[in-house]
Amino acid sequence: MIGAVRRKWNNASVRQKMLVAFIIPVILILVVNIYMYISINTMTARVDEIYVVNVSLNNLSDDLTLLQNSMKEYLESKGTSALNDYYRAEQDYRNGLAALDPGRSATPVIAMRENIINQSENYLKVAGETITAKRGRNVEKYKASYEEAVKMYSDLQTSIYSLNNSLFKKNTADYSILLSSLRSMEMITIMILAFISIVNVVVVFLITQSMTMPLVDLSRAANEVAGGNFDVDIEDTEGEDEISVVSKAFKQMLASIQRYISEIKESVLRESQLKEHELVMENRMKEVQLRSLQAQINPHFLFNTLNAGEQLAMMEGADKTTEFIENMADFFRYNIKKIDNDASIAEEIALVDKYVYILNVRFTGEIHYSKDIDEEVTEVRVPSMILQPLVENAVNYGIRDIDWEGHIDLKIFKDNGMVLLSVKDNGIGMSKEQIERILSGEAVGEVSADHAASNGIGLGNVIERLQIFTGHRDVMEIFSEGENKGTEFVIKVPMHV
Amino acid sequence: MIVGTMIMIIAAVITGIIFKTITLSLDNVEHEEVMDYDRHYAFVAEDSESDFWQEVFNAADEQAKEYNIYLEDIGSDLGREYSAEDLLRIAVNSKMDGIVFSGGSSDKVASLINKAVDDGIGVVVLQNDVERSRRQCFVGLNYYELGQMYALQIERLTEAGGEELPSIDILVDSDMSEGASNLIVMAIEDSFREKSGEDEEAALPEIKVVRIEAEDIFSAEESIRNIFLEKDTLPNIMLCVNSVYTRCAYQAVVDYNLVGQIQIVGYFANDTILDAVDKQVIFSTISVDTNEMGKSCIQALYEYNNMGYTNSYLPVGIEIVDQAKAHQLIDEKTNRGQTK
Repeated sequence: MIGAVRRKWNNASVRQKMLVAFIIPVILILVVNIYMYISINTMTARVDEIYVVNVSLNNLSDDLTLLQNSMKEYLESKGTSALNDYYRAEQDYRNGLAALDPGRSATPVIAMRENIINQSENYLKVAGETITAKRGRNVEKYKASYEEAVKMYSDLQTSIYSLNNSLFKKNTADYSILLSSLRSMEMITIMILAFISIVNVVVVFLITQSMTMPLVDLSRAANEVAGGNFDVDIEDTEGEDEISVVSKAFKQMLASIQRYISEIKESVLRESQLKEHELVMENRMKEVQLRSLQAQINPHFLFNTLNAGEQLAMMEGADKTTEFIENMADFFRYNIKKIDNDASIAEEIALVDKYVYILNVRFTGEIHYSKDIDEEVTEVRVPSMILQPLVENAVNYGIRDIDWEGHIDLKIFKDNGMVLLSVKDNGIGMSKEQIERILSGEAVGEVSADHAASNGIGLGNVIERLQIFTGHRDVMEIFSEGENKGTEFVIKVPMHV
Repeated sequence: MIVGTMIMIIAAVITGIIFKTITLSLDNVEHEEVMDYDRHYAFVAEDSESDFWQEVFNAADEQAKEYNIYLEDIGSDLGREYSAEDLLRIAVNSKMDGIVFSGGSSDKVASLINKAVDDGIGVVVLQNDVERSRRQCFVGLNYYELGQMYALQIERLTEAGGEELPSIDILVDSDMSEGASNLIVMAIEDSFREKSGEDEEAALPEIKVVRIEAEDIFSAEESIRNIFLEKDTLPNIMLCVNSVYTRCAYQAVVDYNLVGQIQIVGYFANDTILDAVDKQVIFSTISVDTNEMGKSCIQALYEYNNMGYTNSYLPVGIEIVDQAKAHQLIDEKTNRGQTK
C-alpha cells in the first residue's frame, strides 16, 4: 500500500504535491482543534450546568418564603391582594417544586428531594387549611394550623437548605474535578498541538525538500554548465512531476550537447589530419619545385646557349647538328615549362622521344628504342616528368654497362579503366630487394645521389608525385626476372582524375 | 514523509482517546452509586452519631439494603441540630414508608407516632418504648433480664468485697419508663431473695435509681459528676444503663481517683469501654446485640408494610462482657484489624 502511495506521490504534479503538503497538516490540526474545542466546550458547558440546581433550590426557598409571608400577611390583614399573592406564590412554588431536578445523584440526595416534595405537600395542605379557617373565621383552628405551618415551614426551609448544601458540596467537588480536568485537558491540548506542529514542520520540510532537491540539483548543474563544465552529474529523479520533467530534459539536453561536442571534436580532428596531409603534399611539391629551380639554372643558360648553337649550326648548314640542338633545346624547355603542371601523355611521350634521340646522338645509337602507344589515351593527364625519369633510369642503371644490344620499349595501353605506362629494358635487371626498396621510397636518396647524370628527378619523387596525384599508394609496379633479365616499370594512372 | 503523516494521525487519535477517557472518567466521578429503592424508611434517634446508634444504624441499613429499602438517617444531612421529636415530625411530614424511632416517650412523641400510623406509616420504637402510642413494634431489651445480669455482677462484686451489702446506683435516662426501671430493680431484688432462700425479710442492698436529666447534650456528664461531688452518698456499685453514662462514670472514677472504690457495671461494648473493662476500671459491661436490634426493626417494618401487621415486641439479646471476654474481644478486633 505504501508502495502504491509512494508511486502516486512521485507521479503527482508539483501543485498537487504542494497542496497535499499543506492540506494534510492543516486538516489534521483543524480536526484535532475542532475535537478539542468541542470536548472542552462540552466540559465548560457542564461546569456551567453544575450550579444550576443550586440556583433553582435558592429560587424554591425564596418562593417558599414568599408563600409563608403572604399567608402570614393574609392572616394578619385578610387582604385580597395578600390572598392573591398567596395563590400566586403557591403556584410558583409548585412549579419550582415540579421543576426540581437534582440530576443523576446519589440516593441520599434523591431521598431528600422526595422528602421535600412530601413535606411541601403536607405544608401546602396545612397552609390551605389555615387560609380556609381564616376565611371561615375559625380563629382557634387557624391559629393551631398556622403554628403547625410555621413548624413545617421551618422544617422545609431546613430541608431545602440542607439539600442545597449537600448538592453544593457535591457540585463543588465535581467543579474542582472538572476544573482540574479542564486544566489537564488544556495542557494536553497545548502539548499535542505543539507536538503535531513540530511534526508538521518536519513533514512540510521533508515534502518541500523532496520537491526542491531536484531543483537545487538542477540549478547547481545549470550553474556548472554555464561555467563551461559539461561533465556534470544530475541525480536521477523518480516521478513525473514538472521538476522531474525539467530535470530529465536538462539531462537529455546535456547528453546531446556532449554528443555534439564530441562529434565536432572528431570532425575537427579529421579536418586537421586532412590539412596535415595537404601540408605534407604541398611540402613535397615545394621540394620538387626547389629542386627543379636549382636545376633550372642550368637549363636556362643551356637553353639560351643551345638556341645560339642551333642558329649557328643552321647558318653553317649543319642539319644534323641543328636537329640535335633543337631537340636538346626542346627537352630543356619542356623541363622548364612543365615542371609545375601536369601534362598529357602525348607530351610526356614526345619528351621521351627527344631524350632518347639526344642519348642516341651521345652514345651513337646504342639505345634501341621502340614504342607501342594506344592513341586513345594520349590525352590523359598525368603529372609532368614521370616517363622521362623512368627512361633515364632504364638507361643509366639498365642498359649502360651491358655487352649486348640495349633495348628500351615504351608501351602505353588501357587496362580496366586504368592507363598503364610501361618502360621496359633488357638491362642488368633488379633484385627483389632493390625493387622493394624503390617502391617503399628508401632508394630515393641513392637514385638522386647520381644527380649530375640525370635531370635531377629521381624515382622516389616520381612515385610520390604520382601517389599525391592519384590519391592511391599503388601507382607503380616494377618487374624484373633477375640479373641481366631486364626491368619493367609500369605506371598506373586512372583514365580520369 | 508518510511516516510523519502517520505520526500526526496517530497523535490525533491518541488525543481523541485521552479526551474521551477523561470525559468518561468524569461521568464516573459524577455519578455515585444510585440505588433504585422500593421503600424509604427513616431512622430517627436522639444522639444518632454515638457509637451505639451508629452500630444499630449500620446493621439496620444492611438489612434494609437486602430488602431494597433506603434507610435514611434523617437528621444527619440537615443543616441544624434537631431533637428526636422534631426529626420524627419531619419524617412524618416527609411521608416515609416507615420510621425507626428512638428518643423520648413524651406525649408529643406519642401523638406524632399516632399521626404517622394514621397516615399509614409504620413506626418501630427502639430501646425505650413509647407505651402510650400506637407504634407497630418495640424492639428493645428485656429489662428484667438486664436486671438479672446486673444482679449477677453485683453478686460477683460482693463476693469479693465481703458480707456487707453494697449500695447501688442505677443510672437511667429520663426517657426510660418507670416500668422499665422498676423491672431492673425488681430483678436485682428477686435475685437477692432467691439467694437467701425466698426469705421475704432478707436483707436487700440499697438500690437507688438515678434519672439523668438530659435536657441538652452535655447535661448528662454534669449530672453524673454531681453524684461524685456528694461524697457521703457515693454508692459502692454504679450500674449504667446507657453507653454515654458508662463512659462518663468511667471518666469520673478515674478523675476523682475512686478506681476500686466504686465499681462500675457498664452498658454497651465499644473500644473505650472494652479497654476499661480490660483494665478493670469498669468491672464488666452488658453488651447489647446492636446487630440484632438494627436488623429486627427493619424486619418488623418490612413485615408491617407487606402484611399489615407485625410483632409488637421483639427482644434483643444481651451478654455480659467481663475482663476475660473483653480481652478476647480486643484481641479479635486487633487480629481483624491486622488481617485487614
